[in-house]
Amino acid sequence: METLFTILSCGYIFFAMSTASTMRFGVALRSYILASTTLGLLILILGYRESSLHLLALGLLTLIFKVLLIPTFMQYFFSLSGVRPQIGSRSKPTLTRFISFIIILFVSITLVFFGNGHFLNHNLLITIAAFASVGIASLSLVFAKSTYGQLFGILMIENAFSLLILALGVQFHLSIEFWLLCTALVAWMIMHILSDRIRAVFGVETVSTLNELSE
Amino acid sequence: MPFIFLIIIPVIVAFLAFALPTQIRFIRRISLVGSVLFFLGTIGHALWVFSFPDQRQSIQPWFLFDALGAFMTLIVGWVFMTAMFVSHKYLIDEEKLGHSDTTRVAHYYGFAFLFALAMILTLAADHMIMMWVALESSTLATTLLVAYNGKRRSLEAAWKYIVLCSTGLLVGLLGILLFFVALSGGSKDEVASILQFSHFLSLATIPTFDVEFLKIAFILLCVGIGTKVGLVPVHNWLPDAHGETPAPISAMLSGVLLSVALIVLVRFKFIIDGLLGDSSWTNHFFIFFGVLSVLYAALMTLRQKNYKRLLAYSSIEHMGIATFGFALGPIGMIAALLHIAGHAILKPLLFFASGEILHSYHTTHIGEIHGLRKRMPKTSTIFLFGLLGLLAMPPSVLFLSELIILTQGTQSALIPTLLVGVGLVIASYGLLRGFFDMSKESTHTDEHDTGREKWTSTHIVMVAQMILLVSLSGFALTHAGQQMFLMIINSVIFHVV
Repeated sequence: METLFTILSCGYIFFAMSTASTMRFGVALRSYILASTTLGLLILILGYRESSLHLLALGLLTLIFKVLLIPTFMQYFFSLSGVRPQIGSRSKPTLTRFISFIIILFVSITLVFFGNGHFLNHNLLITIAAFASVGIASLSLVFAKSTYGQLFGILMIENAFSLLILALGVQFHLSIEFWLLCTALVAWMIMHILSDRIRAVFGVETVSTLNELSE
Repeated sequence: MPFIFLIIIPVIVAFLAFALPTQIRFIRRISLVGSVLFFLGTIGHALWVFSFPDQRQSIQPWFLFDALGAFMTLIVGWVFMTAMFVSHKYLIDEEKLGHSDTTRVAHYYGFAFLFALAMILTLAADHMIMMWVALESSTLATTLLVAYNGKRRSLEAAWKYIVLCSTGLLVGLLGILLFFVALSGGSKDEVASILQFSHFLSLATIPTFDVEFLKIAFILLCVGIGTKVGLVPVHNWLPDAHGETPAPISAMLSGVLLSVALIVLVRFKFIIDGLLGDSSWTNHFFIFFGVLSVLYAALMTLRQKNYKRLLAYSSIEHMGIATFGFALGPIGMIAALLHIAGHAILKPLLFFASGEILHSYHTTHIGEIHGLRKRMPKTSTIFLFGLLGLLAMPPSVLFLSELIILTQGTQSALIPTLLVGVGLVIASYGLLRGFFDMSKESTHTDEHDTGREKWTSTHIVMVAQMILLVSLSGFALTHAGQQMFLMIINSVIFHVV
């Protein structure tokens, strides 16, 4: 079971890095789906190990929302508009991966040596994966050139927080978890609508064109 | 329980608005009726909460109804009702100008009711994560309202708003999780209740916790939730969003959203103060963010060319004053609450007036507006009185709150208080200069300048707000008023029984 945790945690970081470092929408979407699948599986396995109905239900909800609903809506809306958006990034993929490795290294050293034992009672590798992916997702948000790049950044940060909640052993009422997932879905929808309008009005969806409001 | 109505009414009206976008006359009527019922519900809720011996009641793990939440709920109800009344005329004017259509108007009402619902849930949430979800929902409900005009600038403002606020709130979520880590100490015992506000209100003993983690959590909460409050230096979304949003929505954002987010931050401050056994550590942060916000916003009022952005910077300044007040002990906290209430009445008034000015002059640039007092005598007179109230001229309740805050401040934090005083003077100059620039006579005569301005429903709402403001000043000076504010503070301060 521990080996499976290790594989899935490493897989999660790998897919998060892949989402952050790509320039293409299709690759980013596939990587996001794979990262979300890994997250859902991690929750399901933990639920199975601890015989927790709560975690099993949460794992299923995660898979439904993040692997099925969000990507399906994304595909559907883009097929309606016939537009294939570009992600774009201010940093080259190699540089993004390099910075991601530094983040992972930094988080690992910090948690192992300065965690004060707080995180060691839980699965350390999942905690490292969670904190590192918060950093990687933030990196992707900062470097994103287009509104869709920022959208993926926020979705990835939300995923990272779900992993962090799992790693810390925080359990909420299932309905609160459900609301959290609904918030992610609605946030995606609102950002998608806004991105669409931005593209319609500005002609492009690059963030650098949004510069009319300044002091 | 009146609280049920505060959930049911917005849900029904929002559903109808989204389901029947073509029935616009019906949607308009139901929105007005719904907002009045909503306000009556907030009054009922406040009376219900204040009827409890300790002014609080919790339905675990969902809701915590306390006097502070009830007081803020009342403010939300009032501001929301006035905003809906003003929206009625504002949106009709927008349609006449060709800036709107029926579907967008229906969606406007739907999102506005969802926003009110999110605010109520934020104030009543007992579970910290539920509170976070409600606060984030308020961002989601208002994003498309910020983009309502569909113009380049409003789309840009909406994008900045959702990205910056959502990212900021995610930092706040990290703060909540570290708060959990600090208190759980790595164990899973009693973890379920650690994230509930009510858990900390009647503890038998102070639990063991990691001081460093708790402090890091508070810093993250200050930065994260501070983004939503509009505290400098994480305020960037605020002037853009307030400047581009329809006036009634700007009024709700400024009068309600910022204050509600500040109250959430204050709830965490009370808990952390209680755990640390001393409020001085968190007070330093509140003083720092408060003074910085007042000074920066005051300086920015000097260089504003857009009257809505001017009002937005004034909101940052007032949130700074309230934040500063919360760091000055129980009397400062009472003054800060008074300040929030006064600001929640006055700032919407000024935004409503700004909506009238926009529809008359078709511009938000101060330099392009001349002869305001001649063309719009009623609006400009109420605007001037509102502005003077905002600048703490008696009998405005802000005079009372700022006087108490500055008096308390000189006793415990002299230099920051002096800086706040300087900020207030600069901001007063900036705001008055903006108004008098708009009132200057034009060199050429415009045919509109001689037209007589008619009384509108917006004016009536603004006059009602002025009356409420003066009444609040009077009430705050009575024994009953002081008792009420003491009850509010007592209901949320950390207790070890």
